[in-house]
Amino acid sequence: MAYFSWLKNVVQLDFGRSISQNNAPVAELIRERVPATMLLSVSSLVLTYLLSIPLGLWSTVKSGTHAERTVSTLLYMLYSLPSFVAALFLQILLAVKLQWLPLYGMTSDNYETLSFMGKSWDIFLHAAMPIVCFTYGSLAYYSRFIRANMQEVVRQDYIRTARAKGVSPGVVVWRHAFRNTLIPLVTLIGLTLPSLLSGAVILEQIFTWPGMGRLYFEAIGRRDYDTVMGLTLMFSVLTLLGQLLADLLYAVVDPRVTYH
Amino acid sequence: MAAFSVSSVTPWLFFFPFEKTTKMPDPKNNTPDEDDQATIGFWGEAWQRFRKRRLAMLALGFVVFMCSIAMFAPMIVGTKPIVCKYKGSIYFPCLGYYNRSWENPIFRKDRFRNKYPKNLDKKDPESWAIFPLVYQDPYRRVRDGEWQDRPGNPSGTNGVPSRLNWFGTNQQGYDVFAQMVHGTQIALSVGFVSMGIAGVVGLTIGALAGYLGGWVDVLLSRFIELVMCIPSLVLILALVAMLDNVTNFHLMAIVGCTSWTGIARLARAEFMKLKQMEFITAARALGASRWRIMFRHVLRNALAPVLVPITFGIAAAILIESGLSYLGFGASPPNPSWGTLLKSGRATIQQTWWLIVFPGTAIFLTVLAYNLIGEGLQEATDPRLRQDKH
Repeated sequence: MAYFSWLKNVVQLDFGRSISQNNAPVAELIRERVPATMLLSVSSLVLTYLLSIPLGLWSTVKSGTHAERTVSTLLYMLYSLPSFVAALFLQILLAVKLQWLPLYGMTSDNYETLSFMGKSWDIFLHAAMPIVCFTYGSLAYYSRFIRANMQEVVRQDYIRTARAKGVSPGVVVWRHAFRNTLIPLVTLIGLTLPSLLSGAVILEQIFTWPGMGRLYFEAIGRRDYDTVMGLTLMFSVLTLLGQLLADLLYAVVDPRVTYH
Repeated sequence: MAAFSVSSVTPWLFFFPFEKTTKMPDPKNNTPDEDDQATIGFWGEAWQRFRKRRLAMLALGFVVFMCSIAMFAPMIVGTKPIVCKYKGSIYFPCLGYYNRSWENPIFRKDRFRNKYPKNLDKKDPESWAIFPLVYQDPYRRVRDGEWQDRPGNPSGTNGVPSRLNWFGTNQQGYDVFAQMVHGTQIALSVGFVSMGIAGVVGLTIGALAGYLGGWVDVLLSRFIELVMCIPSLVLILALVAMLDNVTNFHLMAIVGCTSWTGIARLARAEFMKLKQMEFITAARALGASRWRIMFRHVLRNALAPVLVPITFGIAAAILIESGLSYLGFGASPPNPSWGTLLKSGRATIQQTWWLIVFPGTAIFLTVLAYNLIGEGLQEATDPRLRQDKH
C-alpha cells in the first residue's frame, strides 16, 4: 500500500523527502549531484569515441601485423581489468608513490581561493583518474567491436568493387566500410548511457566523488528509502530512454529503417 | 491432435538432458568401420577447435588450478592439522574450515582454542599431526610462539610482505595469503552457483517464450525487458541492503536472479529458430509431446550458444561479488573475500599497498581467464566457422 502512495506521488513528480538529510526533497538532492556525475560520464564518453574509432580503424587496416596483435591483446586485457581494481592500482601508482595527482575528492581544500583557471585546473587534476577509469574499459570494448564489424564489412563485395575501381585504401575504409559499421555502433551509445551512471557507484565511492553513484551508496548505508527509490527509478528510466534513443538513431543512420 | 499430452513428461528429463542423450547409442556408432571423423560429434569437434587456441587453453588451465586451490585451501594454508592422532584416534581438524561442525567436538571440549601445535604436545605427548603447508589463519591473527619460536603477525600498517607473511598482513594482523587462498572458494563458488541459477532461470524462460510463442512470448518478453531495464548493480545493491545478515548464498541467489536476462533472450532466439527446423517437424510427426521436443530435442541444440554468455557471466558474477565486498555490502564478517581485502587496503592506501596489489591481481587474472574461455568457446561452437572448414 505504501508503494502505491509512493507511486501516486511519483506520478505527480514528488519523489518524497530524505529523512536523514533534514527532510530535503529527494529531487533536489539528486539534482545537486547530477553535474559531478555528468562531468565524468560525458567526458569519458567523448574520449571513448574520439579514441576508439581511430584505434578500431587502424587495427583493421593493419590487421595481422605484429603491432596490431600487441595492441589487440593489450586492449583485451584492459577490457578484463575491473575498473575498481584499476582505480585502486592507479591511486597507489599516481597518488601515493608518484604523488602527481590528488588521491580523492573533487576539489582541493583551498579551492575557494583559486582563480577561475586555477579552479578548472584543480577539478581537472581531480577528475583525471576517474575519467581514465571510466574510459579504458569501454575504449577496449568499442575498438574491438569496431574492428570485428569492420572485418565483416571489408569482406563484402562492394568493398572489392570500390577497390577495383581505384579508390584509395583510406577512402575505402573511411567512406565505404566505416559508414556501414555505424549502425551497430549507434545502438551501443544508447546501451552505455545507463551503465555510465550506475557503474559509477563503486568508482565514485573509491574517488569520493560527489556524484549520483555516491549518493546512492550513502542512501543505502543510511537506509534512506525515498532516495534509494528515487535513484533506482531514475536509473531505470534512463535505461529506457537510452534504448529509445538507440532505436531512434537507428532510423537516422540506416535509411532502410523507418518507423510509421 | 493426439501428438501432445503433458502427462507423458518424465520430470527428470528436465534436469538431466545430457545424461539421457549421451547414453543413446548413435546409430552410426554401431558400424565399427565407420570413419572416425563422422562420429566425433558436435562437442568433440568443438573441443578440438577449442584446444587449438593456446590462450584459451592457458585460461582453462588457470581456472582448473584455481579450482584445486579452492578445494584444498585448508590443506594449503591453515592452523588446523590436516591429520592428527590424538588420544588414540585419528582426526581431521582441517575440515572445520569447510564447515564448523565437521571439526571434532573433542578439541573444543579439551580447550584447544584453535591453537593446535602446543596443545597437542601438552595434552597428549604421544600425539602427532600433519600441518598445512603454510601455518597461517584467514580468520585470526597468529600470535607469538604459537608455532615453535615463530614471532606473531604484525598488525596495523606494519604487515609488509615477509618470509612468514608472503603477501603481508592486514590491519588486524590476519595473514593476506591465507585470506586469499580461502577467498578463492568464495570467488569461484559465487561464479558457478549464481550462473547455475541464472542458466536454469534464463533457459526455462527463454525456452517457454521462444517455443510456445503467442501470448506467452509477449508476456515473458516484456518481463525480460522489465528486469533488463534496471541496472543490475543498482538492483543488487538495493536487494542486499534489505537483508540483515548477508551470507554468500544470499549473494549467489541475488546475482543469479538478476543476471539471467541475456541468457533468456539468447535461448528464446535459439528456440524460435530451431523450432522451424525439419527435425522438430519430424519429432512432432512421430508424436513426441511438446515438452519432450522442447527439452530433449531443442534444448540440446540450443545449449552451445547459451554456454558462451554463461562463461562471461561467471566473470561478471565474480566482479559483482568482489565489488559488493569492496563496498561493504558483501557477506558479513568473517569473510575472507578478495573484495574485503581491497576494502581494508583502501582504508590505509597510503601505507598498505600489498592489501590492494595481490587481491586486485587475483581478481583481474580470474576475470581475464573466464573471458578468454568464453571467447574460445564462442569461436569453437560457432557454426559459421565450422562450415568454413569443410
